[in-house]
Amino acid sequence: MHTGSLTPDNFSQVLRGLSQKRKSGTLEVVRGEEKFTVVFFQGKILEAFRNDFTPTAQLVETLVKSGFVASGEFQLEALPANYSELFGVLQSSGTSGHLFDEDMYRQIVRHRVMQQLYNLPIDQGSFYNFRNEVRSVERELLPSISVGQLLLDLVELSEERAAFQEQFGAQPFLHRTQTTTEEALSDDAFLLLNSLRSEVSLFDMRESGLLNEFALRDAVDELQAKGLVERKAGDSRSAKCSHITTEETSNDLSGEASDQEPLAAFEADQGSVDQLMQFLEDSIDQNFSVDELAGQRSNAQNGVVSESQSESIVTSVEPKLSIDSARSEQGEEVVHRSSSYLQSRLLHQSWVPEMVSLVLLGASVLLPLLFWKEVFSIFG
Amino acid sequence: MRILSILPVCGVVVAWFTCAMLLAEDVSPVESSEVLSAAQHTATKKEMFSIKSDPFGLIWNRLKPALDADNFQVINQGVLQLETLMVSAGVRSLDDYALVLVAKGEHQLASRNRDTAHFYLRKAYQLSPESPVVLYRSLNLASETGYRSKLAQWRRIIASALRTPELLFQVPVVLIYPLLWAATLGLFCALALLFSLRTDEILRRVARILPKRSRGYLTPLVVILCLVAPLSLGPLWTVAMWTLILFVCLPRYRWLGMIGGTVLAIWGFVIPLKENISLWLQDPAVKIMLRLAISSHGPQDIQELEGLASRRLGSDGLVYYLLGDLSRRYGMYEEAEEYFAKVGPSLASDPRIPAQLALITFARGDNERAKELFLEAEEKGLESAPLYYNLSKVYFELLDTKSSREAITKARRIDPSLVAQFEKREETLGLRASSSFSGFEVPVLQLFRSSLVPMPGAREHYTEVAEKLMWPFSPFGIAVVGVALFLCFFAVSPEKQRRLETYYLGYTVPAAQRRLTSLIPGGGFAVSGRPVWCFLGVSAVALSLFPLLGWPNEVVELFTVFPSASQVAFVIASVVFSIVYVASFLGKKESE
Repeated sequence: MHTGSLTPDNFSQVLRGLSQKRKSGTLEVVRGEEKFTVVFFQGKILEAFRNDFTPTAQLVETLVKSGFVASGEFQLEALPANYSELFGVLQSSGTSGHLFDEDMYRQIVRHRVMQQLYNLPIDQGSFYNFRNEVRSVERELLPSISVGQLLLDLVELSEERAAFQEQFGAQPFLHRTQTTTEEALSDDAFLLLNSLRSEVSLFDMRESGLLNEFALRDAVDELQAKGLVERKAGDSRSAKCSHITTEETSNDLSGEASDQEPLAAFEADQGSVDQLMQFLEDSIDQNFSVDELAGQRSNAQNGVVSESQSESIVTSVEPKLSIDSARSEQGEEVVHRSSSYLQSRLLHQSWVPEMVSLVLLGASVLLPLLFWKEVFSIFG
Repeated sequence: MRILSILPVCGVVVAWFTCAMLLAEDVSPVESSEVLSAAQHTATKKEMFSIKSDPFGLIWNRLKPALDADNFQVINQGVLQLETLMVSAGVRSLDDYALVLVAKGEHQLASRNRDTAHFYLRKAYQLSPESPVVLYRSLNLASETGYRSKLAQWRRIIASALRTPELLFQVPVVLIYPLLWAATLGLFCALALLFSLRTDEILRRVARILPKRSRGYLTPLVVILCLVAPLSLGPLWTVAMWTLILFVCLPRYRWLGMIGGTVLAIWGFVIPLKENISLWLQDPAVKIMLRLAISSHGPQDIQELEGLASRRLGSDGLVYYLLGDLSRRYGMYEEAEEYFAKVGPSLASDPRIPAQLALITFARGDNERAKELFLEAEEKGLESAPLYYNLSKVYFELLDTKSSREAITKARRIDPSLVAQFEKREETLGLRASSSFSGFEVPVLQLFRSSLVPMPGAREHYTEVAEKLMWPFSPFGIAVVGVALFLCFFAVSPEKQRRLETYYLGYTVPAAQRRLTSLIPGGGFAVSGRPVWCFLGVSAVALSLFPLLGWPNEVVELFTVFPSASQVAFVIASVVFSIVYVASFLGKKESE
């Protein structure tokens, strides 16, 4: 076990030592009440997280902040302990988890880990403690970050952070334009573009941890160069006000009320989310049609369906429709996500493999009887 | 458990081998009266043909009234005459006549004249002491008359069958299509069951390939299309396409894919071989060639062989070799030398050519030249009992008794029974009589080469068969597809990086489907994730069921020759079915 105080002077030495000796184990960094854990495997960093929440909770926090997942959708206590299960839950949760796929998910995990590493407390008063142990982690999903890369990043960050703040301070808002492009986007730019629903503060984006600082800067530059987003000046104070603090997000995760209005609306509907999901699944399975779903919604409003169902529809579906309406009013092309949602749901339906299996077995029995007679007749 | 799984395959193959071996001889049905009349009919035809040239036919015709009257003394004398003629002509077996005698013996046995039946049996064995057909046909007669036990008789049948070159061709020709079809159907079932039980994995793999925006809709459609469409194209297309899907979507079962590629490649290689050899075996002259390989011949065979040589336009050197050999045996030395000169490049360097020329030279009296030719044959690698036996005679004529003794000692060391047999002939017929020379066996490799020489119309025939099986591919195309799939085995790695699976996670194989699959013999292996064992099990069951289904053609021939074989086939199928079912059930339990 290695222990000692951690300072900016010896931080590099400690990490290099672990890397050179290809250590596998856990590095704990403690400063006051804060505690961080960095997981090493054969000298490479696989995972980094604050100890106040599990890594998956922190990931959900990132997703909530970046708008991929609705606040209040998950109970903190009920979150899965590992990333793969969380992904399954996100994919089947139905609200907005289907918006990203496996590769994008892996990318978000990587950015979160990188951002945690950038935020490691290495000021005076920090202590470290390294334990040799083989920790069970999801290596297929987690990044493998070299210490050298991390140290270089930290040096560059410390050098350019002031300039970055200054640049963003002048134009702190990102606005998605109506322009489309045929050019390929980098993964980070694509991720950022997907997360942009309306005008977003760059500070919020940075603090969300969806992309680490380097990636965020590069992605913004790329999107701006391609005309897909534009920076806008604004009141940096309001931008900072819109930033969701960790504490607030934690409250969101645990289901407590927040002063964020949309989040509060979702939380108010927390009890009916399951019913809504059930209703949506049933209606999708039965109809495969958004129009019919809308029809059912109107039926629900006319009292055809149960009261609880109609309530959940009104409270949960309407906000989405209102966003679309708002976009339409602004002249944006409204992309209904129902098609994407349906096809995403199809990828998680058990009856699909059952049907394919049945068709295969039936065809394997019947088609040879129909088509192979001539072949068999040659030999007998 | 694995041994249990292999047992049915081995059992079925052995059963088929035995049946095929017995099928290999072109014989008429087993009913005694039918055999008798058929043999008599044959004898009549022989008589017409052989008044001038066939001494065996003349003797046999004189014998027929005695056979009808059961005149044992005349029959005994006639058979002795035939036996003497066989020795002098160098003929080892007279199957047709022997079968008539066996039929007479069975007739007498049915009339409870056991001693008479025993007499006919002994006379039959005098004419055909080593023929597997005669031995098999007399199996019941030999045991009932107390001549030989059934076990001992079976031993003799198998030993004599292994010495018959025709069987080396007939057995594979009879076996190959049933074996290949069993393997193909086994593969088809194993792949279908595997895919039906691993549908979710296939869907996931295909979903990854498809565009994100439409994969939800497209994935099941694409999978169904890929799996079902080949079924409409035929069995080999299905196996080929499914093997490819297996490599792409389920690489951890790549061994089954390798088997799929192998089976296809074998189809591609075997179709031309099988069809050509079948046509080759149907040629009357080839039958003579195969008889000549065991020194069973007559002077009329020369005409048939000359016809074959003209049909094959000189491309088959073995025909000329046999013509030369036959001409030498009948003392036509000039013709023999001409034929040996025409053998072509495949046999020109064969040591048997100088050895045959040495026999001719020796028969003409040029002992010195004969010695040189024998030694040349020895230098070229011919070290056989006939060579040393004949060489000892040459040395003896040259008054080199020491070398003669050494040569005969070498011959005795290699094959003492052959030396004893020819020494007896030499005493009877004289030193220079052509029948007292030991002939040289036709090498099996040369027979195989001969069978590969394309027969007229064979190409069109096997191309048609291949196109029916896997349109539009020729046999070569099928082989290429098979080899390509086989090579995919090495290109596919089952140790690919484990991916985070997210689609169709809620799917589990329905319990009813698992139970139904387990009910299929070998299906338990598929349920327990052992598709290769499933393939073996289903193949064994299919092979054992073919005789009951009367398919493919070879099975029909089996029942034509052995009408009572259906009961045996039923028992074999039941046993195989039970073993496969139990083994797959145990395999499933073991995996659980």
